[in-house]
Amino acid sequence: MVLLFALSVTSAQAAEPSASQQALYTALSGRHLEQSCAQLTDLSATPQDDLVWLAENAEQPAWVAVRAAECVLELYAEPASPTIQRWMQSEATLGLAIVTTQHLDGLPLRQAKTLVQAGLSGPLAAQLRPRVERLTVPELRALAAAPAP
Amino acid sequence: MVPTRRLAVPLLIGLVAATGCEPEGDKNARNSGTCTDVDGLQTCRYSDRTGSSGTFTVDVNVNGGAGAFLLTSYASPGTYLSVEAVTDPSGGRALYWEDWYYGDNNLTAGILPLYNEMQLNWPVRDADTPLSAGIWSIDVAAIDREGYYLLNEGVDVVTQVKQDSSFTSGTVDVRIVYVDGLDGDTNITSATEDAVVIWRAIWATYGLDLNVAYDVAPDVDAGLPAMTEGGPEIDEISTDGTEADITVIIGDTVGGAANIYGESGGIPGTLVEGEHSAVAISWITNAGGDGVFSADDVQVYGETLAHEVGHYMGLFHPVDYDGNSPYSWDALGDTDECGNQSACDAALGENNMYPFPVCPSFNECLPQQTLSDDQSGVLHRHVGAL
Repeated sequence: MVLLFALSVTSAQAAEPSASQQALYTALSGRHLEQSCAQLTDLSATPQDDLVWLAENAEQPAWVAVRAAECVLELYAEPASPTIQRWMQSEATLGLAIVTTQHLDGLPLRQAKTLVQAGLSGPLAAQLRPRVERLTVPELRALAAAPAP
Repeated sequence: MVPTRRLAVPLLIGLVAATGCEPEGDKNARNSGTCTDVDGLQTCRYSDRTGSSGTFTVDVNVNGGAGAFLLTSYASPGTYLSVEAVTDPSGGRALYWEDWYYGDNNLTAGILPLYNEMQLNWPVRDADTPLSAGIWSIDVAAIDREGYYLLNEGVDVVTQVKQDSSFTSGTVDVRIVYVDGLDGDTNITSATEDAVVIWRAIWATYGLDLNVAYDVAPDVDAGLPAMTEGGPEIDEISTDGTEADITVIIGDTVGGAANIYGESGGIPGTLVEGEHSAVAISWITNAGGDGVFSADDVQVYGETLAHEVGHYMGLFHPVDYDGNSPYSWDALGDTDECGNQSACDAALGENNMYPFPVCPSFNECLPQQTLSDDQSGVLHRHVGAL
């Protein structure tokens, strides 16, 4: 009974991609990425949602999730802001948080500051702080120097 | 300047030092420049200038028993170097650039004017003219961005000859360098060491052993440059290695984004210093969204190291795609020249140099750990396999 329950939970948690998610997954899995993020959006009617889904569910090959997150940050940073903030605050998304940190210089300052503050106040602060210290925008670097709350 | 014959250049991707090498018994032959002989690898350095044709000729003197030579040359920024021809001691033409430049098969990037550093390892394949004792001549062109030959252009030259003609066993020295304090993260260092175990097992099947040393470059930023661009920090790191090792640099990202999991500085790359003289690896891109290396991640990371260093030692993808259509192939006789993706997946999907993992279902990809005999032969012919 316990075993059956465990199996059913595992089955319920297994991520199954939609057709468009599968198409994006295939395109992102190449060893050397050949399509731009903008080109990839042609593969889906809901590219933002599908890319977020892949960032959070693709495991193999490892670079699919990271590349999907890059495309979210490049194309949908503002509408996906709540999702990105969640990445900055969860131990389960350390890789996505580091990728996000590397895009902060290019985001609107207000949004970038919110994301830095979210990251530095959460469980990933130790990993993110040295990377925030290397950002180009002084206002963001200054946040790393502030004492932890 | 005189116009080059290469009017459409794809921008893809003097004075000889007085000291000659003294032959040591029947080991390496005398070559121009200041030389060192270490463990069967002779490295010689000198400077030269292009002549009135915009080319210069490098003579490499080899003794019997030599297996391969590696030419590395450098010019000033804005100059593009590429090999025009390789001529054997009897005057026979072993390589001519036009035979490969316009075709669908890739032999060596040494014939492509990509940047101001150029490498050629010869022979590349079992099918190429093998080394014979005597003087081999390599004609190298120096052109500008528009494709015009550059006359009287200063160049630096490094020749390396391995006195080892065994192409069935060898050891490759690899120096793995963590930048920016990443050596303090055991998630990264443990995964890298475990991935090296995978990589070693892949190559052991083909008679290649790995001799891996670990090093650090704490002052280099973890955001590594794209290896197609190169950079002074790559030059600095590679200078700290030996003249026999391949440098692999572990950083956060390559080329300013996390979508490149690894990149080779050349096909082939060199063993000596240079702004492209390394394989750069992004640990994040290999660890995935959770930033933690699972067993599956480590497996693919090991395959990735073998794949990228495979490029560095002269291997091309067996097939490359334009969209979903194959458009170019390597120059090897035993890797399938497949005509569509399903045929390529079937024939080459488990090959370590295939351009992408074949994943029959979501999150489940085939291992890619095989090499063909000819691919193995290319690795063994690189001067770095001693």
